[in-house]
This record gives sequence, C-alpha cells and structure tokens, in this order.
Amino acid sequence: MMAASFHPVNCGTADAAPQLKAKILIAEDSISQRKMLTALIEAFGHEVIECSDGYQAFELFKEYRPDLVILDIIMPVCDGINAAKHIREFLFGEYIPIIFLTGLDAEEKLDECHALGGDDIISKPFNHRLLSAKIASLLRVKKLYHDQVTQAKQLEHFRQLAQQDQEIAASIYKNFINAGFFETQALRYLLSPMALFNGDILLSARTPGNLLYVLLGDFTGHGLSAAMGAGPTAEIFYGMAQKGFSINEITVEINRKLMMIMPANFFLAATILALYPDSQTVKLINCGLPDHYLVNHETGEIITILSNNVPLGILSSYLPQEQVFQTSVQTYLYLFTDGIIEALGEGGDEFGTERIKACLSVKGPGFKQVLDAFHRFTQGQDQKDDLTLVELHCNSLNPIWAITQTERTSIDVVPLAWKTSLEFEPSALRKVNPVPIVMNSLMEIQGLKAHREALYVIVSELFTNALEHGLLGLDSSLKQTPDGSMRFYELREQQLQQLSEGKITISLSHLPVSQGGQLIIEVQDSGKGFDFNPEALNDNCMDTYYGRGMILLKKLCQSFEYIGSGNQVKATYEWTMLNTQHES
Amino acid sequence: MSVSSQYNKDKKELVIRVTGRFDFSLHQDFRKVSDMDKQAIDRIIIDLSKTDYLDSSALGMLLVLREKINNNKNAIHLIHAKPDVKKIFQIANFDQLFTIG
Repeated sequence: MMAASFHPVNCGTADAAPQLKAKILIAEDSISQRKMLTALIEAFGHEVIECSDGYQAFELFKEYRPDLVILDIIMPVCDGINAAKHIREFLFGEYIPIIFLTGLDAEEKLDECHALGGDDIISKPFNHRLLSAKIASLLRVKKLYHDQVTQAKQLEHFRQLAQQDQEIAASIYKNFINAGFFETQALRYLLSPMALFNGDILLSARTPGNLLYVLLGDFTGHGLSAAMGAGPTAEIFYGMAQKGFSINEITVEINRKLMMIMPANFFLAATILALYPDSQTVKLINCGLPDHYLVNHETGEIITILSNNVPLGILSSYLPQEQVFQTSVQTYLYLFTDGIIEALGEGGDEFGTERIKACLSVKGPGFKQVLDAFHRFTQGQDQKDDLTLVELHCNSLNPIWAITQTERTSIDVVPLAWKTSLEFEPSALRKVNPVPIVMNSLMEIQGLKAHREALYVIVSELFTNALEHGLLGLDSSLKQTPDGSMRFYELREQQLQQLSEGKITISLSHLPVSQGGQLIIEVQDSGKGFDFNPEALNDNCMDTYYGRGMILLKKLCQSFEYIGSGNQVKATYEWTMLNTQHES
Repeated sequence: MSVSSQYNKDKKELVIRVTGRFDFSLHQDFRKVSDMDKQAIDRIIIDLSKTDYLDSSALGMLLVLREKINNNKNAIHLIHAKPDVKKIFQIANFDQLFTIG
C-alpha cells in the first residue's frame, strides 16, 4: 500500500482524478462483473476498452495499445493466461502491466501469476481501494520503465554520435601530427593513449639548419576536448620548424594561438627542445611537464631538468625561459608526461620518479628498462592516464638525424639573373625574424633546395651579427660563459624593445655563371661598425662562444668581406649544376 | 571529496575549502561555490590543507577562477598545500599566476 500513501486516490467517488490518465483494456466474461469494473475504472478517470474473452483481448490490444491490461484468468475461447502470453510475445520486451482477476484466493496464486506473465492479481469481489491503488502503482511502474527505455535509447544514440565524432576527429588529429613527423633512430617513443584519442602529443622536425626539434605535450584532460588543440599546435610547430624559426619563437606562437582559441581551463603542458650539432648542446623550454632527465650513460651522471615556465595557453604575453646543456656521444634525454609517473601499482602507490631514476642509472639506453619496470609495476592495473615516454639520443657529434648525401636531391635549376632587397626597421625587427622570410624567397625564386642548410647558416649569421653587434652594440665576449649567454640574450631582448631608430638592409643578387650560379648576400646595418681584423679569425676562435659564426661563414662562402667601417658585409656563395653538393 | 565555501561580506572575501581529491568530479561543485558576483569579491582564498591530490582539470578550474577576477595574481591565494600538491603547482609554475603560501 506504499503507492497509495504517495498518491492518495479518492476511490469510489465519480469525481476522483487519478495522477496518470490511462487507457485500460478489460477482458471479463461475466457481463455484470465487467460492467461494474468498467464503471469503477472510468470513475478513476481512465478510458476503458472492454471485451469478453482472451482472443478479443489480444486483437483489441494490438489495435488500441492500452497502457494496462486486466484479464480474468478463466474465460471461454482463450483464457487470461494464454492472452497474457500472446500479449507478452507481441510486446517483445516493451513493458505493459497485466493484472489477473481471480475468484480464488489471490495471495496463494501470486507466484503463479508472476510466472505466467502477470504483474499483480486481484481476487473477486474487488476491494475498490486496493484496485485503485494497484492500477495507480502499476501505471507509475510502466511510466518509469518507459522513461528509462527512452533514456537508454537516447543515451545509445548519443554514444554512437560521440563515437562517430571521435573517429573523425582521431583521423584528422593523426593526419595533422603524422603529416610532418620526422622519424629518426635518435628518437624512441611510446605513446599509449587511454581513450581512442590522445591528450598527449609528440612532434619531431628537422630544420633547414640541420637542428632536430622535438615537442612533447600533454593537453588538459583526455580525449576529444584535449586533442582539439593538437591541430594548431602541430601546424605551427611543423610550419615554423621548416622555415627555421627558433624554438623560442615557436613556443611563443603556440602559446599565442592556444590562448586565442582555447577556454581558460584548457592549457598545454609541453617541452620543446632543439639539438644543436655544432655546439653539441641541447636547449629545452619546459612549460609545465614533470622532471626530465638528461643522462650521460658513460659517466652515470643524471641531470634533472625542472619545469620553469607556465604551461602554454594561459598567459597573454609569454617570455620562455630556456635551459641549455652540453651533450656527449652517450648523452640521452628522457621525457615523460605525468601518466607514467602517477600510474598506480598493486599496492596503490605511484610508480614515481625514484623508480624511473633507478632504471636510468644503468649503462646504455634506459628506454627498455623504464618500460619493463613500468609494466612489472602496473601489471593488471587499469590505465588511468595517457602514457608517453620519449628517449632522445643527443649524440650531436655524429647526428644520425642530419641530412645525408643521398637524401639531397639534385634539382635541375636553371641559373637566373635577379636581385632583391629587404629593409627592416626597429618596429619590424621586434615583430618578425627576417631569416625565414629571406630563406623562403631564396627557395622560391631559385629553388636552391640542395643548398638550404648552408644558405640558412650564412643568412642567419650575417643577420644576427648585424642586429646584435651592429644595431644593438652588444658585446660578444659576454657569451663566453653559459651565465653570460643568458645575460646576453636578456640584454638583446631589452635593447631591441627600446630601439627607436636604425635599420638593417639585406640584399640578394644572383648571377648565372658557367655551369652554375653565384649568389651575393649583402647585409648592411645603420650601426657604427667595428674594427674588424680578418687575421684574428683563426681556428682558435672555435673554442670560444663567439667568433664561431665568422669561422663558419669563412668555410661556407667562397668569399666573405667587411666593407667600410664594418657595418656592411658581403658574402659570395657559388654553386654548380654538375655538383650541387656544396663542399663545406 | 567535497567543496565547501564561506563568504565574509565585510572583508569581501571568499574562502573555498577542498577536501580529498581535487579533480574533474568536483567540477560542478566548484563552479557553484565560485559562482558569485565578482563585484562582491576582493579576495579568494583556496584552503588546500585537506586536499590530497590535484590534477590538471583542477588547475583548469583555478585558471577559470583567475580569469573571472581579471587575472589578478594577488586576488587568489592558494594556502596550506601539502607537499604533493605543492609539487604540482611548482611544475606548472603557478606561483607566476597565483599567490601561493
């Protein structure tokens, strides 16, 4: 009688208004009983369809689809039990309550009634109050069931839509990331996404200057929403790396873009790094990823690299703090996202950084050791986060990622005669790096693709000198120590922001010569020049932080000279059609 | 896991206390307690003395709060964080965005 207490039904009076108005089918062979039942149920406010045997009941059921059925158990032609069986078969899982009427003691027959497909049983003569309460309660059960089925159907529909969206997004995501991914044996990685869609992102590219760039990132959350930022991130990374922008510039640009498109609670924790073969260093910008380890497997030395920047997509103006380390032949860098570190073992404790460090203190690369230890530790546990582990061999002395002779394609280039000139004033210098712009024009106009690295080095060295020493008047000797280097770049940034006048002009001219071409690159700055002394440029300069640029230029160019007060420099680069490889 | 809050009208100060794991499951609760007219708030104090763990979606919730009060570093104080939680703030360099202590 619980139902009755929730929904008091004023039984027996004609003006009773039930909570749920329903269509009710009654099958009862006794005319008097049927009429009385009908009158009573109509008085509750329901609509009644009546008949006198089980066969009619089934036919009327199919026609009118009532909300509830009342069947006398014993009827001619087809009894109530058979009718219930037909109705249940017809409904095929859909739920309509059935009440049996019996002249026998209803309580004794209740079990049998359930077995035969009835939901309740009422003995004759009826207790009006009981009948009213049973109908009301069964109608509520029916509604509950119906709502639940509808919700389950909706849920299934949404699940399918979501699945479809995830699949489409996953394929777009994969295309974005794989489109430019640079595979090299120096880079080993495990990316094991928790959902179909990964919140972790790994990108790798080789620059025209033969640097290796790697980005490892972890977006807030998992799945689709997390991976939304992956498209723009990959496009910026690959696009800018290919044009030779620095990782600092790439970091700033990714931050700007994510800041613009992502809501406040979304961000990208990432490390962007560059390997420099010339100086045998690795430069990292760690923006919110857990500790990384730089391991020298020869000496066993482990350097822990901490995050010293805010994740990307949070701050509207971003000044990345970089960290620079020397590398040797046996130097390996290990990067992780938090999934590996926070993974839980059988005892409920985290895998943690100490276990990782223990795996890395062995001789030789530690990728497999970490992975094996991790699998032993988490055996049988559910994965709770994306897992990403990256090992980078930082052997800059003999970089296996560097472009090889066979990779260089000799393109049929017809040498042309042309010249162009670009002028940059302080406002432009603050906003753009002219080197990629110049490189693009060179590649577009003359198709000097096979000479890309050499030309890149020449253009960027000349430009850097003109800006840092010519225009800003900075002192190179500061760069003799790593600390001084940092100071140097801080000063550079400061003075560039304050610079109000001056300009740098970059002129290119190209002439066809027999079997090839001659490219002349001239860079002039408005600074006061400096006392240049070509004889001082001996190989000893290679040992210092400065002067290396000039040695490189001397080696790459056929001729290289300072003009006037030293604020103008002219570099000549010659190439031949027969041998497009530049001897350097 | 729960979020509770206390508002001091005179000081215009809102104190939010997070107990247990501070992660995505608290998303709705956190939004509810921090859903106030920003004119009525000068300072928000997040008391983490009972917070055992914090994930990136919790960092996200803090960032939304920060955006709400115009990215003012001095307006949000993250206090009494346990070492594990502090480590997460440290990795994300949140000391540049919030007052931690």
